[in-house]
Amino acid sequence: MNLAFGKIIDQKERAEIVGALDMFTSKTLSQKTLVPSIVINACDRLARSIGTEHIELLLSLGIPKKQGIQYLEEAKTMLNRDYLLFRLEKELGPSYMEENNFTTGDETLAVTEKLYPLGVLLHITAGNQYGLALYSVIEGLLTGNINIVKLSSDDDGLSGFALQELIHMEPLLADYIYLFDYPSTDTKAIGKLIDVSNAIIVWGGDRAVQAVRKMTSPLTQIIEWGHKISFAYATKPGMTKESLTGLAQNIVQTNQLLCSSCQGIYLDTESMDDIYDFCDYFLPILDDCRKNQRLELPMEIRAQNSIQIYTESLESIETPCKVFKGAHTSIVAYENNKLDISIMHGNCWVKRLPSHDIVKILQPNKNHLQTAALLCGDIERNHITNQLLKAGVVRITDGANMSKIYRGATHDGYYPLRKYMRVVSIERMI
Amino acid sequence: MYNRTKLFLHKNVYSKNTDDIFFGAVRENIEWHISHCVKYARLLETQGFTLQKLKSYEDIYRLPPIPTLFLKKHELFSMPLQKIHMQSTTSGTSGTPVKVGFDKSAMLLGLNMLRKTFFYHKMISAVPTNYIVLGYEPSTHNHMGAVRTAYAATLLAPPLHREYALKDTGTEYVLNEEGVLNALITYSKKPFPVRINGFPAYLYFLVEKLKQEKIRLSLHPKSLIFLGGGWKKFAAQKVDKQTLYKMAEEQLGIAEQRFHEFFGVVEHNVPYCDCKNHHFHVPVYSRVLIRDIHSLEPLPYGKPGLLNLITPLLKSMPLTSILTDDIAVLHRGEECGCGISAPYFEVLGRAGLQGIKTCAAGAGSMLEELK
Repeated sequence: MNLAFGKIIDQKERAEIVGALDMFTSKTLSQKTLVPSIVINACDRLARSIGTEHIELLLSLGIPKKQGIQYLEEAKTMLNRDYLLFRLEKELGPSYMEENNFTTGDETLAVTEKLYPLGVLLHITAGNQYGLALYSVIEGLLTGNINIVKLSSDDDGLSGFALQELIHMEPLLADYIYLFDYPSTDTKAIGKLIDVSNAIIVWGGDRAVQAVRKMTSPLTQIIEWGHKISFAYATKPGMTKESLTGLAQNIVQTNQLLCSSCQGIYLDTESMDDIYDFCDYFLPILDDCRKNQRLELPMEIRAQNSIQIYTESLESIETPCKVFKGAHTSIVAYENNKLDISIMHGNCWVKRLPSHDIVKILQPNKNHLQTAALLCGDIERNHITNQLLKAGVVRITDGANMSKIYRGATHDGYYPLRKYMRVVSIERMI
Repeated sequence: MYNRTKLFLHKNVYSKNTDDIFFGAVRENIEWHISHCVKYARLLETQGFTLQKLKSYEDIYRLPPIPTLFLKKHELFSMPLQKIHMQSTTSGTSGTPVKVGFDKSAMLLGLNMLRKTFFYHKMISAVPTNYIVLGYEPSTHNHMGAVRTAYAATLLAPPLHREYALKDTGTEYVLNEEGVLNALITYSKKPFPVRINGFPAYLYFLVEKLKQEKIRLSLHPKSLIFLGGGWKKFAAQKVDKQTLYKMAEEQLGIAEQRFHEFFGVVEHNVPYCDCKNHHFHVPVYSRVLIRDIHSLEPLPYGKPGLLNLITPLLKSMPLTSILTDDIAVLHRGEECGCGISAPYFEVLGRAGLQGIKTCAAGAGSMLEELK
């Protein structure tokens, strides 16, 4: 889908528009200003227009009904006026619309500081989240930016549909939204989009981020929302049945598909026997959680899991490991301490990591770290929390709440709206 | 390797009485690999397998299969590389391509197997033929097994002309939609049969294009369509066999009986050609086991599970027993009704994460192709 000036365009029109994109964006930048209230009003109207009839649209995209209802509820919340106002205040500060006037310490300069949009944002979206392009563009609009989207190759059309509706609600937004579905191989066209942008917002894995870094000149800023890894850290006092059940619930409920899902568990030990004992103890808990969930995974996924678990056992000739296989889930106990993704879908790893090594072992993964579930005793909690934060972890929770979202939470440790604005300083002539 | 030679020179492609030779060939093959590939020997050992466990034909299932996933990350060779000829690679659609090398004797026996298989299925003809290859043009920079197979299929009848859907420019492949359409129209006016070989998805796109352009052709009655490979990244557009055959019959004038399908796995090397009822019967050169998707234990006829292919063809690599990503079901040969009594399998799907949306690190990104 290609969208410009509020209209769906064909490939010929797209070529013409992209050819003159610098002219269109500079015209908008120089002649217009987008204030948050315009965007908030449009989003709120869009949120209120969402109804049960839209479930048909999601069903046509292959989204199961239950999940579809959840997405619509999420959209209603995330586009709602109160929520957007709350975000602006939390992320940019309560006086985000105000100018900050002051005189420098030595009174030689009187300045006005204020938040200002970056200008033009290029959103390179990934296909791993429904409506990602929509939410990314709304963040760009709230901060007054022009938004160009390079849709992912498997885009489902949901964002395009919603953004068209948004422009319908508020035609002033038409000059601030462009959607292009160039394939990732069309580096020439993507290069043009990069050239007109002040910043590129990249969603996706390491390879996507690396590819964008390679293509981008120092003139354009890159804002990366890459993939992350989350895990649990457990000490003996923290290994209660209750805390481990919470962790197991996160593993089976998210199927370990989210950045915040627990991929594996580090134990505060140097002994492999402790690891094996833990696996023996945790496996039935994990298995029970899956069983109680009463959700049978598709045959294709179960088959893939079996192949991967079996392959791990074959690979033990080079990467020593022991597979603990339950009726519905599995645990692989490794001798190494590398932070890695798991087989997923209820199959986690367990490794050794004495607390004095936390920073040394985890810090090399710096930008990949997200949530750590900490299962420990009260006395050690502060110390281990600090060690994990020093290593680069951005969120600490208990096992059950790893993927629990709360209003106004950061995105991987940052406020997106803050990243899409700059602070400008203007000298006041007195 | 006496039994292997005997097996691959067997006069009948679908004979029922080859279990003893097959078992002998597998045992010899495993003995060879254990003594020539240290990594494979260790691998079998960690799975608790020893040669002593292979006492009779019924024990073949005990041999730990090697998953194709394992081969994407590890190389296993039972011969020095300089003795290995011709390397085919997998497409790498789902990750790293796997290189497969052949020993000289396997190449010769393999060629004989191909000749016999195609002869049995009446694919060999002396009538000069024009070809449309719905796949890649062979190139020095492409060693994919699918390319070799598609090219080899153009030698089954003397080729007059070949037109490729993916043309090689020397450095990359470009889609040759117009060239294929023009060639097809030209071929339809000639007094020679036409053979269309390649991926089913490409045939679908071709007949769709013909439909859009309102072109209905009536190709020579001896023309033939020979399809192989999955729909892979075009899975969303997949149509069932019967629909595709019907569509192609309408636009090309080729009757359903003239459609053949081929199943092959680069890591396994035995070709499976469909019978007149479009079923893949298991030839004497291999055995097929279906394994339970959880326990990986063998399943009886009619139960779906993971496809495990066994053949003692290669001495170069220990690929005797391969666990594929395919989910399949095995049926008794008699259930088919085509006259071949060997069991046949049906591919139902593929293990994997297709359609799953994940944001965990390492998950496929949409920009992976960008360099």
